Amino acid sequence: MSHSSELAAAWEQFTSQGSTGAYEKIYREISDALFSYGHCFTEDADLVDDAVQEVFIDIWKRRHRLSKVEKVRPYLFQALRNKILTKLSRRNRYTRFQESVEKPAFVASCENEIIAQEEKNDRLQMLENAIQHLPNRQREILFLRFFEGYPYSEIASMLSIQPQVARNLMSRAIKKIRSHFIENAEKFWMILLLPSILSFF
Amino acid sequence: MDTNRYRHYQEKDFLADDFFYKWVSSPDAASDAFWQAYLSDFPEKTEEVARARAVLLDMLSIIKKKKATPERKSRVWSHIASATIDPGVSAKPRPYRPLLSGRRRMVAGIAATLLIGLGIWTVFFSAPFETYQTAYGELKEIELSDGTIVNLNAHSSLKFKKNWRKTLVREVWLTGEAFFDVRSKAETAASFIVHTDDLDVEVTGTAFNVKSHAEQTIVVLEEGSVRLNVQKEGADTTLSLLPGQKAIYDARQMSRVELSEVETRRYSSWKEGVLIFDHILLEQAVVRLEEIYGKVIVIEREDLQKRKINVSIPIHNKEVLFETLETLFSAKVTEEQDRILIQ
Repeated sequence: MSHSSELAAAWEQFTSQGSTGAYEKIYREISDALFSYGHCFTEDADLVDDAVQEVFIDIWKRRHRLSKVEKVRPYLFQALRNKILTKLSRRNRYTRFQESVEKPAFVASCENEIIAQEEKNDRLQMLENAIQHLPNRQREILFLRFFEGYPYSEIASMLSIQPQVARNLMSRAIKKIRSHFIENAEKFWMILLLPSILSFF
Repeated sequence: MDTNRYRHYQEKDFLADDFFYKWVSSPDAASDAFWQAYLSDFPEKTEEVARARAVLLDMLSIIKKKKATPERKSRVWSHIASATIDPGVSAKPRPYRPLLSGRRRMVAGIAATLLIGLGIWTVFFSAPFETYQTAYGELKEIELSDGTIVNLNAHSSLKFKKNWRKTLVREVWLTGEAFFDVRSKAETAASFIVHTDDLDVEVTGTAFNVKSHAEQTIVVLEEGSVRLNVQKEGADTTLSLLPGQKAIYDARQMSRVELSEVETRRYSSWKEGVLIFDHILLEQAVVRLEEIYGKVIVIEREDLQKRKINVSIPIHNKEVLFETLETLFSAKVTEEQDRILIQ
């Protein structure tokens, strides 16, 4: 992937020369992934923002000691993960998912996009809600698999688990999503579509 | 690889397979060939494969959707930058950092030089301005004394003081639209400021487009970094842009600056003499054309109001433009004294 080599090149420049241009480039390359990953752990956008900020401020301060880092993405994900979990453990960690009026974290701000097909929109909306209801660990797996495209072996080493465990987590996530669809197909027309939704899974 | 390997696979097994996943997320000729071969060897698996594909594709589209808006990314970057590379904590001392901006700085500068001597004050204050202007339909390319290249669009003007000394902040005043390719003054880290009616754009070595018309100011950044300063009561804002971002400030709304991520070429193609309209409404394209040609364009046909236009046209050549519109919409374009009609 050309992206990862661009990121690696920027990281090299950043750690060896302290280049501010490279520093900004790193942010540009990875910020989308970081925000998405951050929201695997919490809906709180402010908390994720603070964590991303702190990770970047940290690597700036320690730039001269970071040239040994080989895989940049996993390194930054790990840093973000630690930051967020630390912050969460300091406050009340019991967060029951609320059907609040604010947008769920996984719903991107899509004011610029109009999804043409109503059907697709609603099904994907359901999927987003289903993902919302998953435990953090499973959301992490989904992120690493579908956003980053990592194979199970890589996911396993990042999370310090066995590859088979990672696969199990994935299939558990998908089973949960399936049952969420079944439970929530309340709308009349959804019920009509139920057979096709089930077969699609 | 042998297709037999997947002979007993069910949907859940496909979902757990790395090679299958790779094929769905980033297919190539080799993997396509393999899975086609697999399906012809085991046609009974067609439905399982189709279902697994559908699941993966949906997951990919949901999870890959960006969670962070351009505003959010920019805002966070502003905080990061101000705690790291920007403020006075960096190792290199900056020779000049403007504390005030725009007219206030000019006033402060004048006040300072008054102390130095009237003679110098006369020279400073009455330093002649150099102005470049373009008429409707005209484009100009200007090279400034520091090597910065400015493409000035039609019906626009660029003003700057003739005596630009290297250590001072470089400032220009813009009405209309221009594309700036700013030469970075690495030695002095002197910044470059574009003043428009509503906001100032502060840059260091960068390529960007500024469009300032009656109610809106639009800045699109191609490369490098810029900082926007808006100083209006109620809307005091400073915002850093990342490349590929477009910021709009609407004076009518006087609210915060709106950010989005864009294909920057669409906004700066005019400097090559070409306008790119990429699936936008004819109404919107017409607004752009009116600004460039200076004539009101009236769309007389109702059915054209909501039509979209997807075309690149040369700016200089009105005939080609009219012909293009006539062909695209089976319309008749006539130019009158003060307006252009599309019928």
